[in-house]
Amino acid sequence: MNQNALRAGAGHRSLHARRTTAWRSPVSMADLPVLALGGLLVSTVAYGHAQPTTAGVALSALSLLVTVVVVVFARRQLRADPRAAAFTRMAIGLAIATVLMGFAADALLLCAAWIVSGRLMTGLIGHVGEWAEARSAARRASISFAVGDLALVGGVLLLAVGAGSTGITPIIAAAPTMSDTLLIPAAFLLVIAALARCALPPFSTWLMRSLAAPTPVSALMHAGFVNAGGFLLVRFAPVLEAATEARFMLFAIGIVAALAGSVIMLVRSDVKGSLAASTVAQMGFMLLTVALGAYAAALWHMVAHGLFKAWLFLGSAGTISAGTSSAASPGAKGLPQPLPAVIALATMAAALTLLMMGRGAALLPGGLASAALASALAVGLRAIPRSPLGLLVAAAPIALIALNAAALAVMSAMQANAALPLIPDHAQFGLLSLLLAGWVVQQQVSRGEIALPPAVVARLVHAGNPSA
Amino acid sequence: MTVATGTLAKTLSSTLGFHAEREQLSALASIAAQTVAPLWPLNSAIAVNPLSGFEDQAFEDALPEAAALFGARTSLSLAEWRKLMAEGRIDYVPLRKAVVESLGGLDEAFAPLGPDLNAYNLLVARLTEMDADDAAPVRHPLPPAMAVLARWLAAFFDRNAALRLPGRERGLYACLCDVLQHDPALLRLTDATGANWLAHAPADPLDMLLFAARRDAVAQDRRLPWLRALVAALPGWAAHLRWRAEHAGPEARLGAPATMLDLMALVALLQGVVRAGPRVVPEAAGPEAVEAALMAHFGLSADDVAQWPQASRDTLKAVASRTIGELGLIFQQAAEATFLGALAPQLEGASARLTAPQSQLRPEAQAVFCIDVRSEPLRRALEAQGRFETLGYAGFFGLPIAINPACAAPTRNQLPVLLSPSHVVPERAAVGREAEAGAVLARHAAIDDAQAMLNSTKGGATGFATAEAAGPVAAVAMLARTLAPRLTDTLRKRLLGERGQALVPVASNDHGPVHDHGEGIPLDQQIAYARGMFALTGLARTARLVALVGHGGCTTNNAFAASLDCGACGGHPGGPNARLMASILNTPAVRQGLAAQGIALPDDTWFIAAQHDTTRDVVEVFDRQLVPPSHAGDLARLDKAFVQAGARSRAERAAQLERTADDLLTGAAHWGEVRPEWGLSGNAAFIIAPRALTRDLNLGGNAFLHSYDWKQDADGSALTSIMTAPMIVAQWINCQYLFSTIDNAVFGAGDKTTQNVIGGFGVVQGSGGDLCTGLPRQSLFRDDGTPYHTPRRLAVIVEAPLQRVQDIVLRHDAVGRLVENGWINLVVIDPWKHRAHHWVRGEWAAKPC
Repeated sequence: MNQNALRAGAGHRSLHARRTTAWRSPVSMADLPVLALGGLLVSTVAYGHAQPTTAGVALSALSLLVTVVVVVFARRQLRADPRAAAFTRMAIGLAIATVLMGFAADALLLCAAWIVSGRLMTGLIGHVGEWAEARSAARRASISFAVGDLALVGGVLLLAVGAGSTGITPIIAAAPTMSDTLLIPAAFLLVIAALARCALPPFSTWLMRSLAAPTPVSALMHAGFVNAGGFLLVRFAPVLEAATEARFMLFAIGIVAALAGSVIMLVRSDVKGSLAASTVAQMGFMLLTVALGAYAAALWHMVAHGLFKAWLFLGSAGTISAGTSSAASPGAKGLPQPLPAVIALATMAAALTLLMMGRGAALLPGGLASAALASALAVGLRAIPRSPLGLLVAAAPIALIALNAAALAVMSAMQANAALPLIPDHAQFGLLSLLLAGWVVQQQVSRGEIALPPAVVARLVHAGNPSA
Repeated sequence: MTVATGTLAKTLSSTLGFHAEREQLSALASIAAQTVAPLWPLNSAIAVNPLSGFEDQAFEDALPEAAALFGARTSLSLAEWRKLMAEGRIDYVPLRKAVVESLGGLDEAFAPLGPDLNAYNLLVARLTEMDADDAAPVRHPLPPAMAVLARWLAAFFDRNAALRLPGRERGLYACLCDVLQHDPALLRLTDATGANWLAHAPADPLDMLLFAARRDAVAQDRRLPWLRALVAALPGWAAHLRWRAEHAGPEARLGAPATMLDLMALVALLQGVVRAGPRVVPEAAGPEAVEAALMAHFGLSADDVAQWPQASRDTLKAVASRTIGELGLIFQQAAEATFLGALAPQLEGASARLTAPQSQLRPEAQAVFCIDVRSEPLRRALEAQGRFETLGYAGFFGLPIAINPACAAPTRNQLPVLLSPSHVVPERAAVGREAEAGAVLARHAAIDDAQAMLNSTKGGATGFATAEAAGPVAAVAMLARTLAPRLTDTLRKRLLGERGQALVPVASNDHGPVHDHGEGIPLDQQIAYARGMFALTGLARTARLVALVGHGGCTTNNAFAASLDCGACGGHPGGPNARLMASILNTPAVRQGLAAQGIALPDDTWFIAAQHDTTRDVVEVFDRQLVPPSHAGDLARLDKAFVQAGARSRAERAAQLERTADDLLTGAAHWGEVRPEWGLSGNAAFIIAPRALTRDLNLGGNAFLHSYDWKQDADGSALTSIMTAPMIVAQWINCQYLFSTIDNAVFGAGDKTTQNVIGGFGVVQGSGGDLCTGLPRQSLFRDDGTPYHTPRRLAVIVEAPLQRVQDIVLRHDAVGRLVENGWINLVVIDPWKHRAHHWVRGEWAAKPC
């Protein structure tokens, strides 16, 4: 009796003793909000408020797949974490909210799910509550999300007024005929909401600072959470198409993010920071694709990049390199000259030919894929003389790019693209040239052939950090 | 401002004795550089004592001084100690003795202060009864200027940097001085004056230090502590720098020279540019508050105490002013005494029994294991399987080698960091497995090529397409590694083959030593190394089959994987050394050489090599194809014993991990696992004695066991080797675990889940900051947060004549320093009287056990 009393007393004093107490009901009070959220999802489906769309299914499938992996992963990873149960709850809640968002037929329901998922992510970023860095990151994310939430609610309300309904289908149907005074601000607000969620400038800081969260949180964040911005804009595509100004803003910010993220990735020496910078670039590319009107390509990018990034984050602890110098990781230092220039020029020549033939619709994704394939082969072809396996190695990127093209074709069959492209084909060629030129410069910087000015390096080194 | 700096420079140069002062500062700086221990890159993680720079002081003085310098706590919290006591890891009697000793003896402890009250009561109340706060160590954020500098240091030292810092080849100080002038983050922290400091920093780091010393008016006699504080501003990066300067090969420094002087100068520069406020240290309850609480605890009023004699009031004050660190040390001493008190009498008894005639039956087989604490459970389990004899020897088997791998990887050192490699041995296909070796190499090269393709395309514009192309593969890989980790691991090994089996380091080929590139080991050296094993372990009669068992961990997606491998092999698996030693010992010429030196091995003795997987407790036997048919039966019996012993040992370890044995196998293959095994947690003793002394004991995986027979070591040279090399390494390990447990945020690497691999060689917490040293939290603490590792100094127990041990302690400063300053507890068991003696500050004290 006395001993029991002592033990109970100790349990109160110690933060960690909570989980050792024998009594544990199957459902705790803290599980109730998650159950309620699940109930909401079920009733949404049951009462016909759910509407499957390609964008929604893609987002939900990505989120569910990554959540399953991350929750199982975290059972071991967070074994010594007193807040492991809270993590699981929030991760499941986040998945439910994402699915709800993906299937919502009503714009208000979508807004609610959007806000809930943002709040859950704020909680996850601040997982290590006693750590100042985590608290400040959560605060930062909270502010960015609040801006995004307000923008989304504002945009949706304007659209609802214009369409006379809060249903997404009526809104989309009314968009082409809606008055510009309602539509243009609404489109801008939707773009701002997407920028905040996708961590594009000027909202990138929240993502760059979120590294104080445990690895499983990062995996959830970079696969499923940030992508919701792309989903939102594809879901409301007709609104965006009716407001060319907003589309151009999205386009411009997308380019900036794609380039800036790539350069920041160059200077980050920590694996998670470099992955976060890469996400900014990838999200920039995704929204840029949305702005161009290539919705199928954007959705496929969303899914594939989400999977890729989750995999890299979860495996980030295994990136200790074996050697004492960078000789141990060939390829990381960039291709030798003149290979990048040759690849870029060849790609542009091929693109130009297509353009002349009047088949320039998919110049950007096609051009980038062939440049990637060519540079992979430039490395992979070395393997062929080494052993019969070399052929397999060299064939791998070809197979993957083919798989990628097939997936894109399937996605295109399910998701229509914008009726009108944002920019003419020759402008798309210009954009491809710009990205390739940036890539050639990046390769040269990696090889030390071009030195960035110290002032630029200094800005990049501190990108996204509290004192920057 | 230019004028101001100009004037200052003029004053500097005009001062008399400028050069002398500069010289002196330079000398002090090289002393201050020793403040931190070198930090090895994680791919070859080596355990070191984070307080190695303080070993010339007594342990109890060094700890508070170092803790103050690094901002660490000096002890577990009292609440944590009480939990350990409640678990039975500290007995009441040793605690009572430690308390009495700390009070200065029985008279002082039990002299009545007032009615029914003495100093002993007071101190015990503080230790075990009064309320104590249970605050976990916290991560202190770096001052903003140091956070900025830390980011630059990471960029400078990055091994895989895509972008080399401009001016990197000019050295750390020159390079960073340049970029810091343009650093917007730093300029925002300072004003125009600070910016001017940056712009006009002296070009030489020593001049910068001199400048800063005068700027801060640091008196001559305060300069060493001042310099040490500069080093301690970023202890992790400083420790990396120390490794780089003293232990890394020249290729690691190539193109980016850096010295500790550079770092000190940069810290001094930034401290001048950004004046940080004094660090706010949360004040622990002052002695007055503790005194009041003590009085309240015993129901004393101020009037009661006022009537006490002065001496009693002083005692009360003295007990009240004991710091948490001092109280924790009492608990620690009690924990050490509890352990020794249980162990020493059993060893004394075993020593007495040893004098009885021993069985002369030849063992079925012998196995020589690494001294690592994780060998002990397996050795015990193996011995239970039949007439098997085990020995303990340093896991590199005495071979001071570096291995030049068959693939493109760089040469790696397979020996303790105390030594430098005498031979570079090439890795070749194992005899009879040439085809397999070729295939394995080709497959691994293919994987490297695939990785290189990913690396070359994942950045920049091609990265967008790469992410899309790799996404589906990533999804499959992710699902497989998460939902079927063991199957995935098996498939991976099946498909890729294991490098460690088909490839083996070789000392010589059929035509004598391998002479290309001066690689290989000459025959006379081979004989000397072989002889060393017999001399140090006292192995005299060999069985028909002798297994040399190295060890390595088995874990995936773990930045600290190398910390589970063999420290004696430079943080790598020990299998290659075992294989090389076995092949040396099976060489007829070596056998002849040994016989000529008086070590005649029976002709029917065959040596095989094996590797103990410490995570799964599986023993992998190498080079079976070379075993003569006559020994096939012996090997089959040993194999069976290894399997059964492994299962037994695994079950034992699973209980310690509070998991099932099967779950250990899953954990070894699971990429989310943060604690695949306990590693060397729990280590408490280093026993230098024949195995017969410890054979009947269950040491619970807490003891390093080095075989040693004092009767075969007339001149004490073997004991000297053991006490000056493996024992020192064991002490480093012990201190790493000790301090990483005491303050995991400062001396350890913190929580694994928020770690971020940086530069390819280390980890930081979150988005940056100081480089982490020591071990992660999950390696030392249980899931519920209580320490699994008990902070205890290493008990070194030797069975040898007192005089012989004493001579070694007195003659070898490296040993004497540790013993005299209380960094280890040295206990010697007198082989004639079978009594344990404890070396206490220069004298042998019969250990009252």
